[in-house]
Amino acid sequence: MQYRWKTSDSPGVAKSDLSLFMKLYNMWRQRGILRLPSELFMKDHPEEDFPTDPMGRKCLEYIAGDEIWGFSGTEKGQAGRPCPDINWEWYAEPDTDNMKASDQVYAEIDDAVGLYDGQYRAGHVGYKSSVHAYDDGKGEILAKRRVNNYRDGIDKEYSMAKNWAWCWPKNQRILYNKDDCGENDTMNPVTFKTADNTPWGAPSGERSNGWPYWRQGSTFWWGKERTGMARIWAQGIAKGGGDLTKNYDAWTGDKPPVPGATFRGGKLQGPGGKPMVGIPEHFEPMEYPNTALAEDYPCYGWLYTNRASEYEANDKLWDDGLVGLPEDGYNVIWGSFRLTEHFHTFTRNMPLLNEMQPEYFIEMHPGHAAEVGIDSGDYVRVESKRGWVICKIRATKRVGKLKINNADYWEIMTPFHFGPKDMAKGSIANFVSIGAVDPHAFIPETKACMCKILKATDAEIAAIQEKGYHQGVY
Amino acid sequence: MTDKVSRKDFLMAAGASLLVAPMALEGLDRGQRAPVQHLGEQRAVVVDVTRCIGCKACQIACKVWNKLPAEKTEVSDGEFTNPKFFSPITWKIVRFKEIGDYDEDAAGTGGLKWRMLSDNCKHCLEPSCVSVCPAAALWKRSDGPVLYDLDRCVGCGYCTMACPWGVPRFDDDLHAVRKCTMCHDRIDQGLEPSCVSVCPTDSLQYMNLEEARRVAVDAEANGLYTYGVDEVGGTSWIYISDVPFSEFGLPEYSTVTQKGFESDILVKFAGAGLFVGGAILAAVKLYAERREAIMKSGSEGGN
Ligand code: SF4
Ligand code: SF4
Repeated sequence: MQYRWKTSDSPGVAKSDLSLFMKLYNMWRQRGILRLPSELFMKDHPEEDFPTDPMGRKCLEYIAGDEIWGFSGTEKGQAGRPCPDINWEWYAEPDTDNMKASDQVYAEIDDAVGLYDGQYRAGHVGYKSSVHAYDDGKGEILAKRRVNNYRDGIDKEYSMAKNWAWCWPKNQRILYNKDDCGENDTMNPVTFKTADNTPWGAPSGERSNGWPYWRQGSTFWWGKERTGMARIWAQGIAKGGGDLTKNYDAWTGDKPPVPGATFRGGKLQGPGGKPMVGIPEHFEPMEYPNTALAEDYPCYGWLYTNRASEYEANDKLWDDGLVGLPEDGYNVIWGSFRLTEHFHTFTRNMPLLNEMQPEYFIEMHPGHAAEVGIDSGDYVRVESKRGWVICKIRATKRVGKLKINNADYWEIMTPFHFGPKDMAKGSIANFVSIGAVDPHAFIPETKACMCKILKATDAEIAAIQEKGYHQGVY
Repeated sequence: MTDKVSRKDFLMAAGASLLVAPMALEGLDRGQRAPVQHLGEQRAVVVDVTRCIGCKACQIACKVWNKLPAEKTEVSDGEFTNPKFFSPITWKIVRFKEIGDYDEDAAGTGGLKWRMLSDNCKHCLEPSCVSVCPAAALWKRSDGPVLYDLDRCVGCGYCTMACPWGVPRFDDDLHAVRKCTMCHDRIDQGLEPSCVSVCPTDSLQYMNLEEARRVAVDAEANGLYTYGVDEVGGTSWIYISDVPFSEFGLPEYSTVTQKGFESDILVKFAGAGLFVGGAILAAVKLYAERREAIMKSGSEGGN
């Protein structure tokens, strides 16, 4: 049944024996001979028995005897709050110094999940009550664990060895959880830290009460109560971006944001002459739609950091002429997203998923499409300073016109899953996106840039219809 | 030695019967399934559009359980609906619909609404597909599902015309009509239909018919739209939405049952001639199939 070396063509269709077992499995499933543990469980435990979660839905987190573990997975007998306060005093970075690289990864994942999960909750005993990815006590990666006994009666009843390996406990993200904006906050996107990790700036009261904001026309960071406490020194980048000192004068003469911080050679340095990291986040991306705004709220990518390489990478983009300016017609905002149907780029060989999302496209507002002179299903050329792709459009009102600094800008959105190979073909979205690097997080700015939209020419349409993709870099 | 051989023989025989038994069952299923007609209370599914997040899990679950292959599709319009229409291998479609525009005055239109409706055969209480079928290949099971027998289907396609939503689709390869079966094989096992079992938001809910109708009436009292309580005399799939169903392309039907629809077809579409013609075609097809079967068995016997 298995052909390892082919000497001649098989008489019929040759399939692996797995396909036969799948057929049998399906038949047994279809006839109810075989049942999944979850199906059996649902049959024996009527839904009415289930506890309700904070949103009022019936849920079954984990039932062990009479105990019901709370929604946040930390406290017994209590449906936890979905947005826990994190007690930062109890929080400690995992000690990964003496670990192998693989262990480090899992320990970090575990730590992050613990944070998301409210493991370090205020009012809760200061320990991590459940391990997710890495068991620091035993020094064990749980994905590698192979324990084939049952945790309790229920596991046994349904033959589920839940300690066999590890899987994610919950796929949850806490976004802008105001409870978490404590003084030493490391989750908040606006992060203040010096090179030696001492928190500075950002008084917690301000951020608990609302978002910090920039006041137009200055580079000071204004909190709700204490204004002028934290401020940044920034580099003006609009047009060419070479000038380091646009707002330098605004800062000098006042006391520095961090005790001991100094300016040396036009660059802000932390205590002891160490480079500063963790200056408040930028508001404008490297490729900006509005020049006036970019002058007032300069890109974070231009701030001096201790990572010269990132800084230089951004510098190089300018030098190589890879940044499109609104004046040159790059005035459509480009954003990329994921589709529910595809996972990263791996699932484009799965027929059922391809059926639902068969090819690469961009989303445009019908009004925008009409301006370009096209309609749903027609081809366009999306062009940035870096590269271009040809693709179909979907006219949808889920994207639209954005008003930025009193000017209108069209926005387009596009999935990034596609490429020239595999069953569901398409041009590569990242031929258009920008490689600017956030010097603090070291993440490229591939989710937003500026582009031009042109109607595809006949030759381009012919090319994409033949190959399934058509793209290029400059 | 003899011991060993007989043991091997036994194992082989056991293995073979293990392999063959389900296939034999499969054969039985295909040909000689008698309509099951008793079966307890009427079951129904409530589809709550206001809860649907458009994950399409139901659409995939349908194909997975019923082992339906994927279709070749393409991007053709602004909505995420894909495939666009029912087909012999697509029994369930999540219909996406944008209503309004994002910058419209919220007071007037509520701005942009994005709604999804998980659509399939409605399993009418008085199905017109059943009443037009000249070969009695379709029937309504007393607990809800409207089922069909591929081998009884003569391929006349009347049901495709009679169904108010164009649900049954003609399969050229099988030369028969196929559609959603409400996962009757799962219901028989005491399970929910496949799509219901995967819905993460409880947008699809499986319950008995009275309860479903009560849920719908309550929703109506709360100012929501419903579909399937009265439409075409009531259906086993009842829809609840905060936008009119015409937005999803579901036609408005009176509360009058469509049971007499077959005569309408005769008058409206093709006249009695078509019916007679259809019957003749059906007879010809039956004859041809029978002849083919006989010839086949004859040739096999000859060898
Ligand atoms: S929806 Fe159409 S196919 Fe389904 S039962 Fe009603 S008439 Fe028949
Ligand atoms: S599974 Fe439920 S939520 Fe997902 S598309 Fe279907 S009905 Fe909507």
